[in-house]
Amino acid sequence: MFRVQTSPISEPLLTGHPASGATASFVGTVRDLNEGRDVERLEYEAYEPLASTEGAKILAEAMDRFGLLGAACVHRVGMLEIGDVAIRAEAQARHRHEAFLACEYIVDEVKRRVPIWKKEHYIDGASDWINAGGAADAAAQEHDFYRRQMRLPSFGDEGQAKLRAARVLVVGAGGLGCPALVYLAAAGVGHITLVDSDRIEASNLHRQPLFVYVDRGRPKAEVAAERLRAQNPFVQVQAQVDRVTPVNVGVLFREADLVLDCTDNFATKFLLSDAAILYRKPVIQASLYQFEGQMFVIEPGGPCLRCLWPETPASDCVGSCAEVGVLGSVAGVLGAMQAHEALRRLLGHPEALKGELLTFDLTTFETHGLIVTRNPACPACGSSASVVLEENYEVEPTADLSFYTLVDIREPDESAVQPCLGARLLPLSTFGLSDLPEGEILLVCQVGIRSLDLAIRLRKQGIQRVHSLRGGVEAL
Amino acid sequence: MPITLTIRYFAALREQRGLSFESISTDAATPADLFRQLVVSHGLTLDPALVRASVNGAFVEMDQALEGGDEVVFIPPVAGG
Repeated sequence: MFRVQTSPISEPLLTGHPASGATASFVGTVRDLNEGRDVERLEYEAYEPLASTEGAKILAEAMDRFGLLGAACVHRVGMLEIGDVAIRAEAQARHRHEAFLACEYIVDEVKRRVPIWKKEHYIDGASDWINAGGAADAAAQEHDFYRRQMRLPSFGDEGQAKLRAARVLVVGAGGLGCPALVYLAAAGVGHITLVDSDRIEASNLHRQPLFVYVDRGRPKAEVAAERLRAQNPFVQVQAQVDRVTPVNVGVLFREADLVLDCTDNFATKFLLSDAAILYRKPVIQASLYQFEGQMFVIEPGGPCLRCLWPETPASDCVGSCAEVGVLGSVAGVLGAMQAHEALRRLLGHPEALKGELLTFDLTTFETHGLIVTRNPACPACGSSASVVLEENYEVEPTADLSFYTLVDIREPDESAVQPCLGARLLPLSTFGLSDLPEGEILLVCQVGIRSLDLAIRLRKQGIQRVHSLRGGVEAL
Repeated sequence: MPITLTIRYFAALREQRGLSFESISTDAATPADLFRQLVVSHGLTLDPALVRASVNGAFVEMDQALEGGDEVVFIPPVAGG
């Protein structure tokens, strides 16, 4: 609820909510001094139609960004005396941290975007209209945000525009992801998608400075996205609380210009390396071991991770951060390095690190660049590569099918004879795109030929989340 | 005829060897030979199949011939993040 009113603001705006544990309110009052001059009273004027729509928009954004249960703001117009309430904003959330952040966000945005002006009447009889926001040009404010980097040699408007147009996928919002994300968002990378399935634990906080103590238990991707949007309101941040799998990796890669691998396990690192080759997108990878880090960029035409290690190593072959320990600043250096390499590439700086594995020993500050050459027998990028993700239309009947929504595309008489348990019936003869359920879909037919054919056709139409059950119902 | 090499260790290997750099005299002919000797002399437990070697700044096959003065780097896969 956003409102502009002439009557005094006194009562709280929000009523109780059973799920709410915190309501933060901000009360802005008329002060007796403006830039050293004594103020007698203030006069506010609003352009009401626009003020109401813009105000409502800000509240909706705050609800969305901070996961609020309620948000409200009232701004007073007309003549106000010293001490009168000019604005009251309230944010209701499950926990106080989001309530505080959201309340600040609402007030800042209202001051910045809502067309309300104030006229100060000074004790000496003079008066001045002061822009209280709204009229300020968002573009100028955005320019102000990036001013210092735009001053760099060969950066300017053009460099900033390149970053604004860029789409970066960050996999993992942990020790590497936190610093990497902060610098990407702060630099103005226009579209950031971050994927992480973990929840925040106390043992993460020493190296994941996007999160605070009260965030424990919340999904990393969601919290990270909130913080990044608050940090830089000029960029779009999308969070997915999910793992990257062979099923969703294609969609994620197709929508990205480049990818940061900030994960902590071999299975995902090798999957992202394979995807770099198949979808022809550079992957900037980093890994940590105690006081050391490594960085490696995988890109089409260059060597990949499987040129060195053809087989994905077992998860327990060398220690993880949980087992061998890790220092936050080491993760910070490597994560910042990944963001830096991403920015360099997006800005079109000359190539560096081509096919080189860079090692950083942060006990001695020694770095080594070790050249990796393409392995002609590499199973991912070699001449007879066998690692294939692109064509994974088919799902084996032995796979975990609970991951998918089953759709039986056989005709009703066939389904009646040999039913596919748990499947939704969408016969091919009357099949329409609008009937497709949400999520990852596994198409099923009698022997897996019609379903494969339909999966291929649907993917050509841009629907990547469809798959075909190999062998059909008969294989189940 | 023994040759003199410098060896660098990374990650889990550094931890197992207890140092990051050493210079040794050896009769090992290849990185694979050298690693086998190190496993015996220092009780390294990392699976040799996971270890990759770089010689003078570039990754090489484990059976490439070594020469006196080479700098050999042993590196296991690393995944922490």
